[in-house]
Amino acid sequence: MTEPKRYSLVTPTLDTPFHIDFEWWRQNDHEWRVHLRSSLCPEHQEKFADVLADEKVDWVDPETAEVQRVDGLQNVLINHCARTGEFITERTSVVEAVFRTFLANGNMHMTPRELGERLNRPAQTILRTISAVRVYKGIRPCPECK
Amino acid sequence: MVLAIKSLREDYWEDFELQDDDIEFLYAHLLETETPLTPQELIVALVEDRIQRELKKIEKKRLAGGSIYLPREQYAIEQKVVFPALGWRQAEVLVSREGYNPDLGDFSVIQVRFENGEEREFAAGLDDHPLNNPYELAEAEGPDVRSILDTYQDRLVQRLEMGLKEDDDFVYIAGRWFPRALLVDVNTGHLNLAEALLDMSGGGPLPTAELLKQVELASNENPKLVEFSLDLALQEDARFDEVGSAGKVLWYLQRLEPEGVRETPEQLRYKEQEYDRGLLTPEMLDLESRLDDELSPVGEPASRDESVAIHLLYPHWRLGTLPLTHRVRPLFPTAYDAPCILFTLVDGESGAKFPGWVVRKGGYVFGLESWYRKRQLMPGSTVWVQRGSRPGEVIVRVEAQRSRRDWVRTLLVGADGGVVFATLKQVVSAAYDERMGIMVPDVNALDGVWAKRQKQPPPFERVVADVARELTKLNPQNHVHVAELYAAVNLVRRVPPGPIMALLASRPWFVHVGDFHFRFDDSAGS
Repeated sequence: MTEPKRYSLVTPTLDTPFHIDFEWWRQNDHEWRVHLRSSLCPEHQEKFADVLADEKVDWVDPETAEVQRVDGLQNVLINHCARTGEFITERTSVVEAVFRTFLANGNMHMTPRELGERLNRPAQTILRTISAVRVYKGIRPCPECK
Repeated sequence: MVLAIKSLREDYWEDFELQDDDIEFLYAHLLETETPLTPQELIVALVEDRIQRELKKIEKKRLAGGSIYLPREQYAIEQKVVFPALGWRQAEVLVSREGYNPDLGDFSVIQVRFENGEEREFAAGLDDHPLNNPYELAEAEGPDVRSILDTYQDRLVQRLEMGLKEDDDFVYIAGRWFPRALLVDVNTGHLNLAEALLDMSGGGPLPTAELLKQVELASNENPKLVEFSLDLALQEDARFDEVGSAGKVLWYLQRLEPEGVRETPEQLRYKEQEYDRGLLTPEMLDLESRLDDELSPVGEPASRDESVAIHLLYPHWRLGTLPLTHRVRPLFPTAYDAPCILFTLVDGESGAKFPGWVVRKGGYVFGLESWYRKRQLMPGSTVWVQRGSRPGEVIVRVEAQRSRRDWVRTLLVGADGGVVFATLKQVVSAAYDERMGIMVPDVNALDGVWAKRQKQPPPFERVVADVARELTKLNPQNHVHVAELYAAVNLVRRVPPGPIMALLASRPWFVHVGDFHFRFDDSAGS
């Protein structure tokens, strides 16, 4: 039996890196790719309706036409949906906006300060939200990411 | 044309190095033109040639077989395909499969193997891709020589010169290159004749064309080539100095140049003094910049139209020189290689012209001794320098004033060779800097001091302390300003402000009392 992952008890600050912890999704019997799919723009939700959760697609380089096999959902989210104005709006909740930011950047860790600048929201509000006792959408501190 | 575009990619000229093919081309080009050319002229021809060579390479690859890869086409197994976007590499189709991407619709994927064994996949049967319309790309990104040179000329010229310098087959003089093998033979007799001609004209300067009228070289050759050949022979002979400013070749007999041009006079020689520049405060660095000494490592170049004031240090006043500081350097003529340049100085008041020499290595301008005497200047006098209206001319002027008697710091030399300062009434005829102005009534006596110190130079720190001690006696507060000390130390030893400032900042017997004034505390010992 695998031992549950332990997390740092140090209180996160504005400069603590966060990321999406996919282990949290597994432990909580959630399928993060369902959320990933729901984050797609309407056009690609329809087009990728038959693409399986972690299925690879053929991505064609716009300059050389070379083909590479990539994660279909994540690729279209990063390269198309995340670039539309509708992906994160002023009305998107803080948790959803942070989650989508991590999805769009390939889950590269970011601090609340950086997230605040990217999302144009108060960094303190972001910190308070994502460092609460309850974990939202697997967003957790990642002190070892520094 | 289109096909060349991808080959001459954006970074093509950034990585430019002179290759064997380039050397061959340049050699042939110079042979063909029979005229020595500047690096700027050569690089235009070379860039044009490189583009032509790339086009030929592409044509060759096209003719070598293989279909040009276009994403919209379908390809058969074992078909040869050329990829323009990958530097025209050739590959063979191994397999074809159905492509899968809901965003792109139906298309195929071909797996290909390149000549080096590398295997990669490419789209086929894909209608919507920019590579399907290469002609549109070509119109947007055509390799235009002018725009390439606008962006990369300096870098390309630098690389070209580096490459040619390493090749003994090329020779360089007065900004032009030519193959050594094509030079016209210039023998010792020709050079002796050139020497005689220069001797007869008082040493020079004479342009090469003038020398060629008397020195008979092969007349059936290209005149520019003959001139270049004589220039090179003269340059390689120590009897001759090329003294023209950039773009102008003038010859002078080295032995007839003024002594102060052939060798840096003793009073301008700086015996490098080690010191810690970290000791200099920002204010000191600012003052150092304003004092504008040619030996200081600081100073902003003046704009070419500016008029710059120079306060004469004693060594420059004594020798009739001007310092070639960072600030005034742009106002004087320069040259590609010539160590000294003969030019014309113009008296800003009378318009009288007289010869001046820019001695690049020594960092000074020579030839103002008579003018200083005529204008009755003294150490500390202010000389204004600006470019003349004609190329190669520099105007010098002073702010003349009616002669008046002023209380002026004066250097007196004792019978034992010791120096002391006194404030005495002196006749002053031109504006001067009050801190740096020091009258020297007996120049010969001071020459004796320099001669004595040349044989047995006292330690630098002692010189500064002795001068500071003497200067502080001249005012009731016993203070000395940094600029006063700098000017006074240079009466007996050539030194820039930096080492003096470092001493002032680091020795306990110099006490800063504010605004660059220091008190000399003899009780602290020196």
